[in-house]
Amino acid sequence: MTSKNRLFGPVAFAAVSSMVLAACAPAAPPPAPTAAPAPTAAPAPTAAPAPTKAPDPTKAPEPTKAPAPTQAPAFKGDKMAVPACKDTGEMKSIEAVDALTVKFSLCQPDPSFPYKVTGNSFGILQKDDLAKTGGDAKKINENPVGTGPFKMKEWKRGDSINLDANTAWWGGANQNKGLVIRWTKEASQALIELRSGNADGIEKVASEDFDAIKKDSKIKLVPVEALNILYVGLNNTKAPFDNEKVRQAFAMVIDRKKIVDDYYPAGSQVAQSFVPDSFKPGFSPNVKWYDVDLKAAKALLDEAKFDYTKEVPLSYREVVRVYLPSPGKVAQEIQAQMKAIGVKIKLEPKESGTFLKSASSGNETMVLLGWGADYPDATNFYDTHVGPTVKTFGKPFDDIVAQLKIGDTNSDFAKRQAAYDKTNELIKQHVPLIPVAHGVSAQAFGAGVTGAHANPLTPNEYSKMKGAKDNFVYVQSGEPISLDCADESDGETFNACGQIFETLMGFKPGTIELAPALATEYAGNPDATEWTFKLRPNVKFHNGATMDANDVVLSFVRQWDAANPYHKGDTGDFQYFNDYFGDFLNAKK
Amino acid sequence: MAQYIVKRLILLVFVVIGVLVVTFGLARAIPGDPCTSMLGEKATPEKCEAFKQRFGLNDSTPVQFVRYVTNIARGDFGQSIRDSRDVTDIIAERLPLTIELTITASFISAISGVLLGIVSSVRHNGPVDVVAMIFANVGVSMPIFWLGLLLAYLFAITLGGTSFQLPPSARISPGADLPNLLKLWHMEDATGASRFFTELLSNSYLLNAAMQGKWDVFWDVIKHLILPSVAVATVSVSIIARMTRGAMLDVFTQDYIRVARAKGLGERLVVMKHAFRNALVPIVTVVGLQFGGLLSGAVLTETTFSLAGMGTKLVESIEARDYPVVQGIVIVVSLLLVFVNLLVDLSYAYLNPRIRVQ
Repeated sequence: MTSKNRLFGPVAFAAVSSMVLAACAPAAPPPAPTAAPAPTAAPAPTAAPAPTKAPDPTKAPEPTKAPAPTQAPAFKGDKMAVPACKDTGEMKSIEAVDALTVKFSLCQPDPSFPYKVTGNSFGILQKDDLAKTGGDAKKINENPVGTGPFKMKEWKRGDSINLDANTAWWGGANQNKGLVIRWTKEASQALIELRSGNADGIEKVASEDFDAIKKDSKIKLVPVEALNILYVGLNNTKAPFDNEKVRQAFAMVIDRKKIVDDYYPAGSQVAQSFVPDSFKPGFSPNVKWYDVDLKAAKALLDEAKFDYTKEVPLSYREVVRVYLPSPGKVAQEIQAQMKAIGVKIKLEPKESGTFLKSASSGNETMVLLGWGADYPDATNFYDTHVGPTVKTFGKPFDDIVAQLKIGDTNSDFAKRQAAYDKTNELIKQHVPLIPVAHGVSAQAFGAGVTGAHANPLTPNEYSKMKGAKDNFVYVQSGEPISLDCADESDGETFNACGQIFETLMGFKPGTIELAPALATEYAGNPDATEWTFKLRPNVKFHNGATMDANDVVLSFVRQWDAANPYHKGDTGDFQYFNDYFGDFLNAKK
Repeated sequence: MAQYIVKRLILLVFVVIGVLVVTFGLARAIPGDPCTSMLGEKATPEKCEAFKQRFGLNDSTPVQFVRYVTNIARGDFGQSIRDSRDVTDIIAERLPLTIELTITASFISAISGVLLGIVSSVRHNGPVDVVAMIFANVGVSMPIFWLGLLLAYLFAITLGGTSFQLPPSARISPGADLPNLLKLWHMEDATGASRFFTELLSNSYLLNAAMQGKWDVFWDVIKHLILPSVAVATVSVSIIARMTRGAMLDVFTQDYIRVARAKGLGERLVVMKHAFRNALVPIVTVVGLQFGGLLSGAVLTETTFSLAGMGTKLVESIEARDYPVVQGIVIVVSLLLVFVNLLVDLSYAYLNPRIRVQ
């Protein structure tokens, strides 16, 4: 794909873009703002996905003062559209309605769309710079041009990424002259860096160091909201879990509080439902998980004629995750707890890749697994685990799938919450999995660092932090792979990209509450198939160009359209776009 | 001598082939696959299939091996699966640090080890000898990563704020200005050997800083090298000290030493000219062998001190199942070792004329 794309070159781009994009663009002047879903008014609570507190329009630049179409006659909005929603993934069209308005139309409802575009894979690139680099990550790496608070100085491969403050940033004065991002895999080494004053903040803190850091007056611990879940999965196509009573009995035996108390850092939570309690809609406060009740469990097992002589295999991997800090110990704990009612558990530690493949294919009987949020919407948890195509827990439950469909195709908060309440009741009834814990993690900063925060899903905003020196030094767990984040998927890469490129929407520091970024406001139609974003005016890229809606359109289209000359990136996978929005346009089959 | 060198170089070809076979086989024998390492836990089987297809990992191992060897013969080490970059670029970035570290550590270990060994042998069974040998035994048994962390803690935190403070990690201080030579010389588009060697030079921070006359940066780089070099050299110091002591004590019993002393030569002359010169062959052997130890020690030291060398890259690449990088690094390190061993062999002839005659 890479070499073929090279053949296209700028000439091909000119041809393709003029024939496809420009031809699809409205021939008449851009539609009046009133044609778009009410950009001048705050999205009605029922129209927008309910969890999202729509950005306060009083804080946003006055949309009504935005230039009327007559004031910007030169602007010609780009548009990419599919003629029909067939084998095209989720996207139907992406359109620059006017210089500061972008509309996404979808082939299927997606209430989580505003959350999805917070992902660093959807940072906005400058169209002329894309033409210059040809969308090749190797060239983007040399001089990435975004709108973010920092701009590239030098990437010392293997050692550090050095960024200078962007003095033209729309977000106000940067607290630092520069930002240095370093990396080490060793949590102990990162801590020495922090304690010695060589670093102002570190990403990786071992849970066993939490107490020591709290006692150290020179540094401080900043907890990261637990947006994950550890669960015990039970496969309903494998004995003994082909009997619902057995699954319910297991749920009554496993003492989740003991596991959290004994093996998780302070601040971790016993999971009451499959999603963290901050997921709204999604979390159901009124649906309580089973209490430990060995007597009832034994009765259920006897009723199900459970064979106590047979060992039940529990497979897991010895990979430490925030949701599972001590895999082996937790597995042994479950084994010991089940033994209390005479159930024999056989522990089967497996190599990580083999285990994941086997579990997702539905070949494991009982698994100890977990999940970390990609974006804070219930769909990211429920659909990926108890959705219609998931095999980890055996055959999907039709009644759960039906409820998920309601939750997935509605932008009304109350309707979605009702569907997820029902989903949680059904999960409790069918027990495809036993939710165990939401593990907490933390970052650490120098005690004197002002504005210190730890964002749970997106990169921290270092421009709002201030350390002792001119350059803020942050130590993360690994080196970024490239700075074309459209085609990357790891957190270390995103942390660097997030300082250079910005997305349409973001989160308030340290939270999962949506906040304006390059877009000042957004609105969705009632069935969540159209999302319109109003862009922030006068945003400058690092090369001095002013951002407009066409930059946004091209940043998305280069990912969506496999035939786009800039659909190149690092490997050409554009994994997150593919994961979130389905198949690419013009993809080779 | 020329014949000897040619013979050794021919043997080198077989060594490289052996290394290729073993590395290639071992890399693929590790459980796990590059797809889940690279695309993450959420990668679907379809994505993994496409991923393997793209990197030719679906082909049989012999087919992959033949393709790999053919490419190597053309000087193409392939592309990193993780970084989508040429392995030669990665080696050019990473090798200089490892060489800087290994050479600095070699100097520290050779000079300190030999001095310690000589002093111990001269003060045989005295308090100095006992203390030196205790140090040698402790040093040889101390894990490098542990020693590294201790040194970092001591010099970066405990002695923080004093003039003895040393940086616990990285190669250079944040904000230190040491431009890449490719940029400085406007060679960003260079390819092939010129790019490789300019990158090598550029990433040899000591050479780069010296060439640009940035002596403050040069000193900064030295300060960053001290702790890792000491950490990696400690085991070698101990081994060389013990070896030197043993070799010197052996030589001290020889007749020619007794004759030299009987002739009334000063003790310093006896020790340095007569004894040490004759004890050098086994010492040089150990110093040469230690070079390999230092190279492998650099893997741990680089990890402990967060240094961007071959060691950290090797570990990263093994974890990511980034086969081309693993293979490239192992081959380069093997060639380095073979080259150093050749130098050691040649030095025997210089040190001992009898070997030259044989």
